[in-house]
Amino acid sequence: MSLYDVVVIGGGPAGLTAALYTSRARLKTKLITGPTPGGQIALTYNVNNYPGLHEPTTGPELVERLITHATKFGAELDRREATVVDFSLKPYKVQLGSELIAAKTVIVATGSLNRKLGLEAEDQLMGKGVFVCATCDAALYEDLRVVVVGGGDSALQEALDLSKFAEEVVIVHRGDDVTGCQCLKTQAQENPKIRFIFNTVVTDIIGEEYVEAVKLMKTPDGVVETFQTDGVLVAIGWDPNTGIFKGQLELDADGNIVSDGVKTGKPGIFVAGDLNDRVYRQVVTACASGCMAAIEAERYLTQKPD
Amino acid sequence: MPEIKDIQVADWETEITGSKIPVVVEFWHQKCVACKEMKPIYEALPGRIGDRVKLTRMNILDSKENRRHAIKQGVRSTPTFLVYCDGRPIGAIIGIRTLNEMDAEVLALIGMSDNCLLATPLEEE
Repeated sequence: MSLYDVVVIGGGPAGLTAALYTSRARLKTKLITGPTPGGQIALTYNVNNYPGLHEPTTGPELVERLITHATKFGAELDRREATVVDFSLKPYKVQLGSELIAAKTVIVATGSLNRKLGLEAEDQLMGKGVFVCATCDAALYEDLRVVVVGGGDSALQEALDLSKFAEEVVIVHRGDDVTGCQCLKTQAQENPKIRFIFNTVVTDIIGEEYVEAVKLMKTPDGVVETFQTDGVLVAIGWDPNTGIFKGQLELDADGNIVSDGVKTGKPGIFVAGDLNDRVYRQVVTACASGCMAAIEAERYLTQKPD
Repeated sequence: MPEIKDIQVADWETEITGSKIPVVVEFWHQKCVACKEMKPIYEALPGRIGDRVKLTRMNILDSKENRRHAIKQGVRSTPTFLVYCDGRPIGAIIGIRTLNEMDAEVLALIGMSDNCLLATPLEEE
Protein backbone atom coordinates (compact mmCIF):
# COMPACT_ATOMS: atom_id res chain seq x y z
CA MET A 1 0.00 0.00 0.00
CA SER A 2 1.43 3.37 -1.02
CA LEU A 3 1.89 5.83 1.82
CA TYR A 4 1.66 9.57 1.15
CA ASP A 5 2.53 12.51 3.35
CA VAL A 6 -0.54 14.28 2.05
CA VAL A 7 -3.57 13.03 0.16
CA VAL A 8 -5.69 15.84 -1.28
CA ILE A 9 -9.23 14.79 -2.13
CA GLY A 10 -10.75 17.24 -4.59
CA GLY A 11 -9.59 18.85 -7.83
CA GLY A 12 -11.05 22.34 -7.65
CA PRO A 13 -9.03 25.50 -6.97
CA ALA A 14 -8.71 24.65 -3.26
CA GLY A 15 -7.40 21.13 -3.82
CA LEU A 16 -5.13 22.18 -6.68
CA THR A 17 -3.64 24.97 -4.58
CA ALA A 18 -3.19 22.68 -1.57
CA ALA A 19 -1.34 20.15 -3.75
CA LEU A 20 0.84 22.90 -5.20
CA TYR A 21 1.88 24.00 -1.72
CA THR A 22 2.46 20.53 -0.24
CA SER A 23 4.39 19.20 -3.24
CA ARG A 24 6.48 22.36 -3.36
CA ALA A 25 7.26 21.68 0.31
CA ARG A 26 8.59 18.31 -0.90
CA LEU A 27 5.84 16.36 0.76
CA LYS A 28 4.81 13.24 -1.12
CA THR A 29 1.41 14.32 -2.39
CA LYS A 30 -1.44 12.46 -4.04
CA LEU A 31 -4.02 14.72 -5.68
CA ILE A 32 -7.33 12.95 -6.27
CA THR A 33 -9.43 14.96 -8.69
CA GLY A 34 -12.00 12.54 -10.09
CA PRO A 35 -12.53 12.47 -13.87
CA THR A 36 -13.34 16.19 -14.23
CA PRO A 37 -10.95 18.40 -12.29
CA GLY A 38 -11.72 22.05 -11.80
CA GLY A 39 -14.76 22.18 -9.59
CA GLN A 40 -17.34 24.91 -10.04
CA ILE A 41 -14.93 27.31 -11.71
CA ALA A 42 -14.55 24.90 -14.64
CA LEU A 43 -18.20 25.64 -15.40
CA THR A 44 -17.68 29.38 -15.53
CA TYR A 45 -17.52 31.22 -18.83
CA ASN A 46 -15.22 34.09 -17.92
CA VAL A 47 -13.21 34.60 -14.76
CA ASN A 48 -13.13 38.33 -14.14
CA ASN A 49 -12.17 38.58 -10.49
CA TYR A 50 -9.05 36.50 -10.00
CA PRO A 51 -6.21 38.90 -9.15
CA GLY A 52 -3.72 39.21 -11.95
CA LEU A 53 -5.93 37.52 -14.53
CA HIS A 54 -7.17 40.69 -16.16
CA GLU A 55 -7.04 39.28 -19.69
CA PRO A 56 -10.14 37.34 -20.74
CA THR A 57 -9.74 33.91 -19.18
CA THR A 58 -12.32 31.14 -19.17
CA GLY A 59 -12.87 28.88 -16.19
CA PRO A 60 -11.46 25.84 -18.04
CA GLU A 61 -8.35 27.84 -18.98
CA LEU A 62 -7.75 28.76 -15.35
CA VAL A 63 -8.22 25.13 -14.36
CA GLU A 64 -5.59 24.06 -16.92
CA ARG A 65 -3.14 26.54 -15.43
CA LEU A 66 -3.88 25.41 -11.89
CA ILE A 67 -3.37 21.75 -12.85
CA THR A 68 -0.08 22.53 -14.57
CA HIS A 69 1.08 24.47 -11.54
CA ALA A 70 -0.12 21.86 -9.02
CA THR A 71 1.72 19.02 -10.77
CA LYS A 72 4.85 21.03 -11.56
CA PHE A 73 6.40 20.20 -8.19
CA GLY A 74 5.61 16.52 -8.27
CA ALA A 75 2.06 16.08 -6.97
CA GLU A 76 0.64 12.84 -8.40
CA LEU A 77 -2.63 13.71 -10.10
CA ASP A 78 -5.10 10.85 -10.02
CA ARG A 79 -8.37 11.12 -11.93
CA ARG A 80 -10.09 8.30 -10.12
CA GLU A 81 -12.77 8.94 -7.51
CA ALA A 82 -12.16 8.43 -3.82
CA THR A 83 -14.99 6.06 -2.98
CA VAL A 84 -14.37 5.13 0.66
CA VAL A 85 -12.27 6.66 3.42
CA ASP A 86 -11.25 5.19 6.76
CA PHE A 87 -10.11 7.83 9.22
CA SER A 88 -10.41 5.58 12.30
CA LEU A 89 -6.72 4.74 12.54
CA LYS A 90 -3.45 6.26 11.35
CA PRO A 91 -2.27 6.17 8.69
CA TYR A 92 -5.60 7.16 7.20
CA LYS A 93 -6.90 5.11 4.28
CA VAL A 94 -8.47 6.18 0.99
CA GLN A 95 -9.97 3.75 -1.50
CA LEU A 96 -9.36 4.57 -5.18
CA GLY A 97 -11.09 2.01 -7.35
CA SER A 98 -9.46 -1.28 -6.44
CA GLU A 99 -6.44 0.42 -4.89
CA LEU A 100 -6.16 1.37 -1.23
CA ILE A 101 -3.70 4.13 -0.37
CA ALA A 102 -2.52 5.42 2.99
CA ALA A 103 -2.06 9.01 4.14
CA LYS A 104 -0.31 10.69 7.03
CA THR A 105 -2.50 13.73 6.44
CA VAL A 106 -5.60 14.35 4.33
CA ILE A 107 -6.88 17.61 2.88
CA VAL A 108 -10.57 17.39 2.06
CA ALA A 109 -11.55 19.77 -0.73
CA THR A 110 -14.43 17.99 -2.38
CA GLY A 111 -16.41 21.18 -2.94
CA SER A 112 -20.11 21.24 -3.41
CA LEU A 113 -22.74 19.79 -5.68
CA ASN A 114 -25.42 21.75 -7.47
CA ARG A 115 -28.56 21.66 -5.38
CA LYS A 116 -31.52 20.15 -7.14
CA LEU A 117 -35.12 21.25 -7.19
CA GLY A 118 -36.09 17.77 -6.05
CA LEU A 119 -38.52 17.12 -8.89
CA GLU A 120 -38.81 13.70 -10.48
CA ALA A 121 -38.68 15.17 -13.98
CA GLU A 122 -35.47 16.98 -13.15
CA ASP A 123 -33.44 13.76 -13.30
CA GLN A 124 -35.40 12.32 -16.20
CA LEU A 125 -34.83 15.40 -18.35
CA MET A 126 -31.26 16.18 -17.25
CA GLY A 127 -29.27 16.77 -20.42
CA LYS A 128 -32.53 16.99 -22.35
CA GLY A 129 -33.40 20.55 -21.48
CA VAL A 130 -32.55 20.54 -17.78
CA PHE A 131 -29.00 21.71 -17.18
CA VAL A 132 -26.73 23.40 -14.67
CA CYS A 133 -23.99 25.00 -16.74
CA ALA A 134 -24.48 27.79 -19.25
CA THR A 135 -20.82 27.69 -20.27
CA CYS A 136 -21.29 24.10 -21.34
CA ASP A 137 -24.67 24.23 -22.99
CA ALA A 138 -25.74 27.81 -23.74
CA ALA A 139 -25.02 27.45 -27.46
CA LEU A 140 -27.62 24.70 -27.68
CA TYR A 141 -30.34 27.14 -26.67
CA GLU A 142 -29.75 29.59 -29.50
CA ASP A 143 -32.96 31.43 -30.32
CA LEU A 144 -34.83 29.44 -27.67
CA ARG A 145 -36.36 30.37 -24.31
CA VAL A 146 -34.71 29.26 -21.08
CA VAL A 147 -35.95 29.50 -17.50
CA VAL A 148 -33.20 30.09 -14.94
CA VAL A 149 -34.27 29.06 -11.45
CA GLY A 150 -32.61 31.01 -8.63
CA GLY A 151 -31.77 34.51 -7.60
CA GLY A 152 -28.16 34.58 -6.44
CA ASP A 153 -24.87 35.37 -8.17
CA SER A 154 -24.84 32.06 -9.99
CA ALA A 155 -28.34 32.44 -11.39
CA LEU A 156 -27.54 35.96 -12.62
CA GLN A 157 -24.22 34.94 -14.17
CA GLU A 158 -25.75 31.92 -15.86
CA ALA A 159 -28.58 34.08 -17.20
CA LEU A 160 -26.09 36.59 -18.61
CA ASP A 161 -24.08 33.80 -20.25
CA LEU A 162 -27.25 32.27 -21.70
CA SER A 163 -28.39 35.61 -23.10
CA LYS A 164 -25.51 35.47 -25.60
CA PHE A 165 -27.41 32.72 -27.41
CA ALA A 166 -30.98 32.37 -26.13
CA GLU A 167 -33.86 34.42 -27.46
CA GLU A 168 -35.24 34.98 -23.98
CA VAL A 169 -33.98 34.18 -20.48
CA VAL A 170 -36.52 34.22 -17.68
CA ILE A 171 -35.18 34.27 -14.13
CA VAL A 172 -37.68 32.67 -11.77
CA HIS A 173 -37.02 33.39 -8.12
CA ARG A 174 -39.00 32.59 -5.00
CA GLY A 175 -38.11 35.90 -3.31
CA ASP A 176 -39.27 39.38 -4.22
CA ASP A 177 -35.82 40.45 -5.45
CA VAL A 178 -32.60 38.81 -6.54
CA THR A 179 -29.95 38.28 -3.90
CA GLY A 180 -26.90 38.41 -6.16
CA CYS A 181 -24.37 41.23 -6.24
CA GLN A 182 -25.35 44.63 -7.56
CA CYS A 183 -22.93 44.42 -10.50
CA LEU A 184 -24.57 41.29 -11.89
CA LYS A 185 -28.05 42.49 -10.99
CA THR A 186 -27.57 45.71 -12.95
CA GLN A 187 -26.18 43.85 -15.96
CA ALA A 188 -29.13 41.47 -15.92
CA GLN A 189 -31.69 44.25 -15.51
CA GLU A 190 -30.18 46.15 -18.42
CA ASN A 191 -30.05 43.10 -20.67
CA PRO A 192 -33.03 43.21 -23.05
CA LYS A 193 -33.15 39.42 -23.32
CA ILE A 194 -33.51 38.86 -19.56
CA ARG A 195 -36.68 39.27 -17.53
CA PHE A 196 -37.61 38.38 -13.97
CA ILE A 197 -40.52 36.56 -12.39
CA PHE A 198 -40.46 36.97 -8.59
CA ASN A 199 -42.36 35.32 -5.73
CA THR A 200 -42.65 32.21 -7.82
CA VAL A 201 -41.45 28.62 -7.52
CA VAL A 202 -41.06 25.88 -10.13
CA THR A 203 -43.26 22.97 -9.05
CA ASP A 204 -42.83 20.69 -12.05
CA ILE A 205 -40.98 20.29 -15.33
CA ILE A 206 -43.00 19.02 -18.24
CA GLY A 207 -41.76 17.16 -21.29
CA GLU A 208 -41.77 13.72 -22.84
CA GLU A 209 -38.47 13.55 -24.67
CA TYR A 210 -37.33 17.12 -24.00
CA VAL A 211 -38.33 19.98 -21.73
CA GLU A 212 -41.45 21.66 -23.05
CA ALA A 213 -42.71 23.71 -20.11
CA VAL A 214 -42.57 24.28 -16.39
CA LYS A 215 -45.30 24.67 -13.81
CA LEU A 216 -44.92 27.96 -11.97
CA MET A 217 -46.66 28.64 -8.68
CA LYS A 218 -47.03 32.15 -7.29
CA THR A 219 -46.06 31.96 -3.65
CA PRO A 220 -48.55 34.37 -2.11
CA ASP A 221 -51.71 32.86 -3.60
CA GLY A 222 -50.71 29.39 -4.87
CA VAL A 223 -51.92 30.08 -8.41
CA VAL A 224 -50.24 27.68 -10.84
CA GLU A 225 -49.60 28.34 -14.50
CA THR A 226 -47.92 26.37 -17.27
CA PHE A 227 -45.04 28.30 -18.77
CA GLN A 228 -43.59 27.19 -22.11
CA THR A 229 -39.82 26.89 -22.19
CA ASP A 230 -37.14 24.98 -24.06
CA GLY A 231 -34.74 24.72 -21.17
CA VAL A 232 -34.47 24.91 -17.40
CA LEU A 233 -31.18 25.91 -15.82
CA VAL A 234 -31.15 25.19 -12.09
CA ALA A 235 -28.98 27.58 -10.05
CA ILE A 236 -30.43 27.45 -6.55
CA GLY A 237 -27.23 26.89 -4.61
CA TRP A 238 -25.06 24.01 -3.54
CA ASP A 239 -24.88 21.21 -1.05
CA PRO A 240 -21.55 20.13 0.45
CA ASN A 241 -20.08 17.08 -1.23
CA THR A 242 -19.39 15.17 1.95
CA GLY A 243 -21.16 11.86 1.38
CA ILE A 244 -18.05 9.69 1.75
CA PHE A 245 -17.09 11.36 5.04
CA LYS A 246 -20.24 10.41 6.95
CA GLY A 247 -19.21 8.50 10.05
CA GLN A 248 -15.57 9.51 9.53
CA LEU A 249 -15.71 13.24 10.25
CA GLU A 250 -18.18 15.25 12.30
CA LEU A 251 -20.84 16.76 10.02
CA ASP A 252 -23.51 19.28 10.91
CA ALA A 253 -27.18 18.91 10.02
CA ASP A 254 -26.60 20.34 6.53
CA GLY A 255 -23.75 17.94 5.79
CA ASN A 256 -20.99 20.49 6.31
CA ILE A 257 -17.79 19.29 7.96
CA VAL A 258 -17.48 20.76 11.45
CA SER A 259 -14.16 22.56 11.63
CA ASP A 260 -12.12 25.23 13.30
CA GLY A 261 -10.79 27.17 10.35
CA VAL A 262 -9.20 24.53 8.15
CA LYS A 263 -8.77 22.03 11.01
CA THR A 264 -11.27 19.23 11.49
CA GLY A 265 -11.75 17.37 14.75
CA LYS A 266 -9.40 14.59 13.53
CA PRO A 267 -5.69 15.29 13.86
CA GLY A 268 -4.00 15.60 10.48
CA ILE A 269 -7.23 16.01 8.53
CA PHE A 270 -7.93 19.44 7.09
CA VAL A 271 -10.68 20.96 5.02
CA ALA A 272 -10.53 23.61 2.29
CA GLY A 273 -12.55 25.37 -0.37
CA ASP A 274 -16.27 25.81 -0.95
CA LEU A 275 -16.90 22.76 1.14
CA ASN A 276 -16.06 24.81 4.18
CA ASP A 277 -17.23 28.23 2.99
CA ARG A 278 -20.85 29.22 3.12
CA VAL A 279 -20.13 32.93 2.86
CA TYR A 280 -17.58 33.97 0.24
CA ARG A 281 -17.31 31.11 -2.28
CA GLN A 282 -14.81 32.82 -4.60
CA VAL A 283 -11.97 31.21 -6.54
CA VAL A 284 -9.50 33.33 -4.66
CA THR A 285 -10.90 32.35 -1.25
CA ALA A 286 -10.91 28.68 -2.27
CA CYS A 287 -7.26 28.95 -3.29
CA ALA A 288 -6.46 30.76 -0.05
CA SER A 289 -8.02 28.09 2.13
CA GLY A 290 -6.21 25.41 0.10
CA CYS A 291 -2.98 27.20 0.91
CA MET A 292 -3.87 27.42 4.61
CA ALA A 293 -4.77 23.73 4.78
CA ALA A 294 -1.49 22.81 3.08
CA ILE A 295 0.55 24.89 5.52
CA GLU A 296 -1.31 23.33 8.45
CA ALA A 297 -0.63 19.85 7.04
CA GLU A 298 3.04 20.66 6.68
CA ARG A 299 3.19 21.97 10.27
CA TYR A 300 1.38 18.89 11.53
CA LEU A 301 3.88 16.61 9.80
CA THR A 302 6.79 18.58 11.19
CA GLN A 303 5.42 18.27 14.70
CA LYS A 304 4.02 14.75 14.41
CA PRO A 305 5.79 13.06 11.52
CA ASP A 306 4.24 9.65 12.25
CA MET B 1 -6.26 2.75 -39.28
CA PRO B 2 -9.76 4.22 -38.77
CA GLU B 3 -9.93 7.64 -37.19
CA ILE B 4 -12.47 10.24 -36.08
CA LYS B 5 -13.66 12.52 -38.84
CA ASP B 6 -14.44 16.16 -38.04
CA ILE B 7 -17.59 17.11 -39.89
CA GLN B 8 -19.66 20.20 -40.63
CA VAL B 9 -23.35 20.40 -41.52
CA ALA B 10 -22.43 20.40 -45.21
CA ASP B 11 -20.95 16.92 -44.74
CA TRP B 12 -24.08 15.44 -43.14
CA GLU B 13 -25.57 13.98 -46.31
CA THR B 14 -22.36 12.24 -47.29
CA GLU B 15 -21.08 11.17 -43.90
CA ILE B 16 -24.25 10.30 -41.99
CA THR B 17 -27.30 9.95 -44.22
CA GLY B 18 -25.36 8.21 -46.96
CA SER B 19 -23.25 5.99 -44.73
CA LYS B 20 -23.55 2.28 -45.24
CA ILE B 21 -22.43 1.51 -41.72
CA PRO B 22 -23.61 2.95 -38.38
CA VAL B 23 -22.22 6.36 -37.48
CA VAL B 24 -21.51 7.99 -34.14
CA VAL B 25 -21.54 11.80 -34.10
CA GLU B 26 -20.11 13.57 -31.08
CA PHE B 27 -21.55 17.06 -30.61
CA TRP B 28 -18.92 18.97 -28.66
CA HIS B 29 -17.17 22.29 -28.22
CA GLN B 30 -13.88 23.54 -26.84
CA LYS B 31 -15.31 25.29 -23.76
CA CYS B 32 -17.01 22.16 -22.51
CA VAL B 33 -15.04 20.55 -19.68
CA ALA B 34 -16.75 17.20 -20.00
CA CYS B 35 -15.92 17.17 -23.74
CA LYS B 36 -12.28 17.62 -22.85
CA GLU B 37 -12.50 14.68 -20.49
CA MET B 38 -14.11 12.53 -23.16
CA LYS B 39 -11.61 13.46 -25.89
CA PRO B 40 -9.00 10.76 -25.16
CA ILE B 41 -11.72 8.20 -24.59
CA TYR B 42 -13.54 8.94 -27.83
CA GLU B 43 -10.25 9.08 -29.70
CA ALA B 44 -9.45 5.58 -28.47
CA LEU B 45 -12.65 4.17 -29.99
CA PRO B 46 -11.48 3.93 -33.62
CA GLY B 47 -8.83 1.43 -32.57
CA ARG B 48 -11.43 -0.68 -30.77
CA ILE B 49 -14.65 -0.51 -32.78
CA GLY B 50 -13.66 1.53 -35.82
CA ASP B 51 -14.21 -1.48 -38.06
CA ARG B 52 -17.89 -1.63 -37.05
CA VAL B 53 -18.90 2.02 -36.90
CA LYS B 54 -17.85 5.30 -38.41
CA LEU B 55 -16.80 7.81 -35.74
CA THR B 56 -17.31 11.52 -36.37
CA ARG B 57 -17.63 14.73 -34.41
CA MET B 58 -19.16 18.16 -34.94
CA ASN B 59 -18.02 21.28 -33.09
CA ILE B 60 -21.18 23.26 -32.33
CA LEU B 61 -19.23 26.49 -31.95
CA ASP B 62 -17.66 26.21 -35.42
CA SER B 63 -20.70 27.82 -37.04
CA LYS B 64 -24.28 28.88 -36.50
CA GLU B 65 -25.28 26.15 -38.94
CA ASN B 66 -23.62 23.49 -36.79
CA ARG B 67 -25.35 24.82 -33.65
CA ARG B 68 -28.75 24.89 -35.31
CA HIS B 69 -28.25 21.42 -36.69
CA ALA B 70 -27.33 20.10 -33.24
CA ILE B 71 -30.45 21.71 -31.77
CA LYS B 72 -32.53 20.20 -34.58
CA GLN B 73 -31.09 16.79 -33.78
CA GLY B 74 -32.30 17.25 -30.20
CA VAL B 75 -28.91 17.88 -28.65
CA ARG B 76 -29.32 19.82 -25.41
CA SER B 77 -26.06 19.06 -23.65
CA THR B 78 -22.42 18.50 -24.52
CA PRO B 79 -20.93 16.09 -25.08
CA THR B 80 -23.78 14.17 -26.69
CA PHE B 81 -22.97 11.16 -28.85
CA LEU B 82 -25.77 10.33 -31.27
CA VAL B 83 -25.73 7.00 -33.05
CA TYR B 84 -27.23 6.79 -36.55
CA CYS B 85 -28.14 3.84 -38.69
CA ASP B 86 -29.43 4.31 -42.23
CA GLY B 87 -29.34 8.02 -41.50
CA ARG B 88 -31.79 7.70 -38.61
CA PRO B 89 -30.90 8.34 -34.96
CA ILE B 90 -31.18 5.16 -32.91
CA GLY B 91 -29.88 6.35 -29.57
CA ALA B 92 -27.89 8.85 -27.57
CA ILE B 93 -25.10 8.73 -25.03
CA ILE B 94 -25.00 11.93 -22.99
CA GLY B 95 -22.09 12.93 -20.78
CA ILE B 96 -19.01 11.19 -19.47
CA ARG B 97 -18.30 7.49 -19.85
CA THR B 98 -15.30 5.23 -19.40
CA LEU B 99 -13.76 3.65 -22.49
CA ASN B 100 -15.32 0.28 -21.74
CA GLU B 101 -18.72 1.87 -21.16
CA MET B 102 -18.49 3.76 -24.46
CA ASP B 103 -17.62 0.59 -26.38
CA ALA B 104 -20.40 -1.35 -24.76
CA GLU B 105 -23.09 1.33 -25.11
CA VAL B 106 -22.36 2.07 -28.75
CA LEU B 107 -22.36 -1.61 -29.68
CA ALA B 108 -25.49 -2.25 -27.60
CA LEU B 109 -27.37 0.54 -29.36
CA ILE B 110 -26.38 -0.82 -32.75
CA GLY B 111 -27.18 -4.39 -31.75
CA MET B 112 -30.65 -3.47 -30.47
CA SER B 113 -31.76 -1.53 -33.52
CA ASP B 114 -33.70 -3.06 -36.39
CA ASN B 115 -32.08 -0.51 -38.66
CA CYS B 116 -28.63 -1.83 -37.88
CA LEU B 117 -27.75 -5.30 -39.02
CA LEU B 118 -24.09 -4.65 -38.62
CA ALA B 119 -23.11 -5.94 -35.24
CA THR B 120 -20.20 -7.87 -36.71
CA PRO B 121 -17.02 -6.36 -38.08
CA LEU B 122 -17.13 -5.22 -41.67
CA GLU B 123 -15.53 -2.72 -43.97
CA GLU B 124 -17.31 0.23 -45.46
CA GLU B 125 -17.44 0.07 -49.21
